[in-house]
Amino acid sequence: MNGVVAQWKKQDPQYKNTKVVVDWIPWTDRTTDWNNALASGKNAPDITELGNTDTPTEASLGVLANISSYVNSWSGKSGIVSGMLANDTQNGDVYGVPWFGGVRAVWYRKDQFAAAGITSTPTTWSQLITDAQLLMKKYPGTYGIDAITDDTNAFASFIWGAGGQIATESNGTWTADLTSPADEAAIKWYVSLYTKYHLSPSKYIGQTELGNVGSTSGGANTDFGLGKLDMYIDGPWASATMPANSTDKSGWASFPIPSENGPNAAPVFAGGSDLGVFATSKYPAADWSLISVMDNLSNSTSFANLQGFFPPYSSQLTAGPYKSSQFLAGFATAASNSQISPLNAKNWSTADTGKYYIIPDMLKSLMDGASFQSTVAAANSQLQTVLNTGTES
Amino acid sequence: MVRTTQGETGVRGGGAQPPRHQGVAWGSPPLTRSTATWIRRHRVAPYLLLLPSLVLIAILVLYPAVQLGVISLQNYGLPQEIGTLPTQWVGLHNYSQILHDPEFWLSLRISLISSVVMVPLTLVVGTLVGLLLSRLGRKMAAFVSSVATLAWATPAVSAAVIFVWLATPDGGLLDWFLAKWPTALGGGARWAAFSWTNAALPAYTLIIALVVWTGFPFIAISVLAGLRTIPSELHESARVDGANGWQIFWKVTFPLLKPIFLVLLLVSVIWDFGIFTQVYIVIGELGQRDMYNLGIYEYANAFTLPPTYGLAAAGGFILTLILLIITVGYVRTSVRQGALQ
Amino acid sequence: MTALTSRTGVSFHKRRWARKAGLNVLGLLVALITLFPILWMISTAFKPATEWYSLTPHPLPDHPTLGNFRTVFDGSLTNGLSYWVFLKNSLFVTVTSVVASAFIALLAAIAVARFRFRFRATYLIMLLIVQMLPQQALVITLFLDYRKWDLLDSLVGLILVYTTFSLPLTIWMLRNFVAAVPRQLEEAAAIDGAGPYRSFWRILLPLVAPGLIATSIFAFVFAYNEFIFALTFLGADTAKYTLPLYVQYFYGRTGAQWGPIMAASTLFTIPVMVFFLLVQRRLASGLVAGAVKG
Repeated sequence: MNGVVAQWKKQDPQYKNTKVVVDWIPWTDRTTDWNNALASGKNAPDITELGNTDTPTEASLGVLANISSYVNSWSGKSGIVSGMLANDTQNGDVYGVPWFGGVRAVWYRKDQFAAAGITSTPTTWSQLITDAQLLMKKYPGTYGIDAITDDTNAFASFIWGAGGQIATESNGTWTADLTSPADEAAIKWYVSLYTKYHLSPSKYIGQTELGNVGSTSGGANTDFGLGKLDMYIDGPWASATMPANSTDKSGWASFPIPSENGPNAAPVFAGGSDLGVFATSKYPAADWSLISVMDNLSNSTSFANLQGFFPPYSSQLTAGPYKSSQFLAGFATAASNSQISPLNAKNWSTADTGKYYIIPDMLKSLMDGASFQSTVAAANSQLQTVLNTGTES
Repeated sequence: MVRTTQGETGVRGGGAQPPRHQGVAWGSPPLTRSTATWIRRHRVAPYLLLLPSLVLIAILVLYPAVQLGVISLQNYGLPQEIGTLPTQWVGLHNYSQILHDPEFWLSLRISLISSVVMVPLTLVVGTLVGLLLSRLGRKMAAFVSSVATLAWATPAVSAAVIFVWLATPDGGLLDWFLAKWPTALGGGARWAAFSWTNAALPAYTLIIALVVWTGFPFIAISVLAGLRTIPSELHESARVDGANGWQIFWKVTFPLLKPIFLVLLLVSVIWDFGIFTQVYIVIGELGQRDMYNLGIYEYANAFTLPPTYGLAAAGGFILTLILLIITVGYVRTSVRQGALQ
Repeated sequence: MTALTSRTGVSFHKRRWARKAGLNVLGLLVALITLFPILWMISTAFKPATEWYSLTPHPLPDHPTLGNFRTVFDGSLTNGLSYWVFLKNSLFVTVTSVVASAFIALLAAIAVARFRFRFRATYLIMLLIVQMLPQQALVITLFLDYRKWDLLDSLVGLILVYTTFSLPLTIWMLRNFVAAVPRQLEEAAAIDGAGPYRSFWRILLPLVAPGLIATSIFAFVFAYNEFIFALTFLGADTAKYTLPLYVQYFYGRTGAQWGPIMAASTLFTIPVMVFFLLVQRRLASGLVAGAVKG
């Protein structure tokens, strides 16, 4: 960031005496911090990074400033992946620009697959189970795959991979689809990873990929790093949180999350971050100027590479540096088939991780043995209500 | 009761007779004579002394308490707090929403069951240890009570973190021990890597264990002190009459300790019913809705996103109401025992 | 008594000895079970990372290390904020609120114990009721109020709540102590020509001192250990966290760094334990006196 700030000051000398303070906050605190800053008027930033699913919600809450005029006259606009920019636009007004993108895939170790006799990475759900069982047999005491309950961004791929949708919108009204046959098949299969096939341990129930809700490291992430977990679903950024004494780093590789029957991979959630200007900022022009430097082709690419993400420019994605890396190839392939709805719905974060944890709690109840039909039906109606109204009733 | 005689002092005037020293007579600097006389005449002294505590309590306790009731009748959320949307009166809508929320009933059940187990268990363990302490030799009793004091001194946060560490599935002592315990007695391999914090029953078992652990010493020491006030002749005569230890406890000791037990019971219930800190840590902050107790449930409404302060206030009001009902007995007993004399 | 001894002779003494030994063993067992979690905490704090999860846990570290404590003191896992920062915050908040609370409570206790005035009973009932209001409910509206008064993210805000919330019980306990000081002493001093301030300092204060100590201990422990208000009011300003919040934050964020978590917890807990041990006797008598007397 220091380099980028120096660049910016050189590029735009009117700001050469501006002091820039960069504040790193824990990712899970971000929405609380925005709300507090807005309400109390204290500690409000001028520029903020947001998850791309945050942008629609925060824009509608009045947290972000309308930067349409800046963006429309920006040289970088044409190179940005259009779908990503569309996510940040509401009724024609732009509230953020994409900074980097990332998708999830399945982490594994190439040498482990070879040793267990797996010749090619799985492309169907049944192959995934078979491979997990082979790995657990070859490496007793490890877990085959992490069937956690609190990562809907990853779980969505299984619903989409069965041909279903979590929820669909028409004319502003949401209809939840969890009770459709495709969705139920996906839910049943995912839960069976724990209940029937015992590929995942009980401690992952109620956890995110990083452990307990709110943790910044631990859980399945640490287990994969230490070799206790054979296959792990997460994005390439997960390497940042793995323990320092992780084993066999050279064997790390990735393959896209399989769909139910193959041969194509399941659609993945198009995650990533945006940059936005805070509504209470007193210097929107200066903010935009800095953002345009942070988000130009070279800076965004180098920043993304540092963290294991992809830059938002279509030219970079189709080029090739990602496809040739053993580690990143799976992610790059997966990125070509991405989906975002309904995770960018206005009330999605309330339904998923803000207040109600609808899908995580549903998975948790099912893994704990609750009756399938009634639990899924209850979650479905709750999801529909929350998506439409923002509250449970 | 003799009424204050400060009025008389004023009548008698200063000088010859020293002022009757009922309380404080303000006759010396820095107060001027006239202010002092005014205070004395209007008997304002006690009110002045009470003023700081009254101001603090009024602003920081009574005012928010009233607000709790007021906000619970409004649709107060973040937009209302910032001012982007107006506050509306919604009557009992928040309450009806809570009463229709299955999570509320679940958290209420969890609170009830856990405190019904926690409180008697703490009392029983504490009483037993208190009895033990009364029978031990001086040095041994001092040692055991010092150790118990250490457990009592452990802050809620530390106790919770220690117990979570003991019960962690990855290399925690509890799972290791249970796995080694013979299967026939309930142990066995199924305990290896068992997670105590992702379901309500194991989590609250853990919480109950740690609350009893930090809570029994206070009971034990109170019981011990109470036992020491009972004249030993009562025990002696009972023993001479042929009563065994058990009968002595029930017929002699327990009735005399009843007032203490009553106080301890009610204080424990108030505290354990809405218990917050230990639960917050053991269930891993606010992420697992199916493990909330009532205290956490109403807190979560305000501090998960999006914040709904009106709803949370309604929940808080319900919690307060339940506690007030439970402890109306405490106030009545205190009044009856002449606490206000 | 003598008749009993001579009749049953040796077997009576043996039975008594056996009973005593049995009780001692029981006492030791109780002490061991009670002490165990604390020992485990301290032992883990001195264990290197390789020993936290060993397949056969050892009660004592094989290779004791100060590394966990070093991590805690240099703040490498907590944004570079050292343990000293949090200790400083906690002590500042705790000591200030204890002093304020003791002073204000003493004034109120004097008023209530020494005077008869119209609203005395009302005031006392108010104190009782206030003790019953749950903090986790009040914190919601207090949070909104603090936002309005700009007291969020501020240690001063915490001092205010800690002082206020320890007042009811403190006043109640001090009341008994003040009432126990015989009025004749003050009257005698007045006859000797002592003014009110002298009488307060020389007579009342020394006699109420044990009560002040007991209530200060209670207020200190309450403020030092307090969690809900700290959690809610200090939000994301990690540098202002008090120790309980720091330990929880440490645990909640770093996942599985058990050595440093236990080291932080040990450092946090040891002072309170020492404190309690030192004032053990006074604490028990003061609290029981308060409870029994009503």
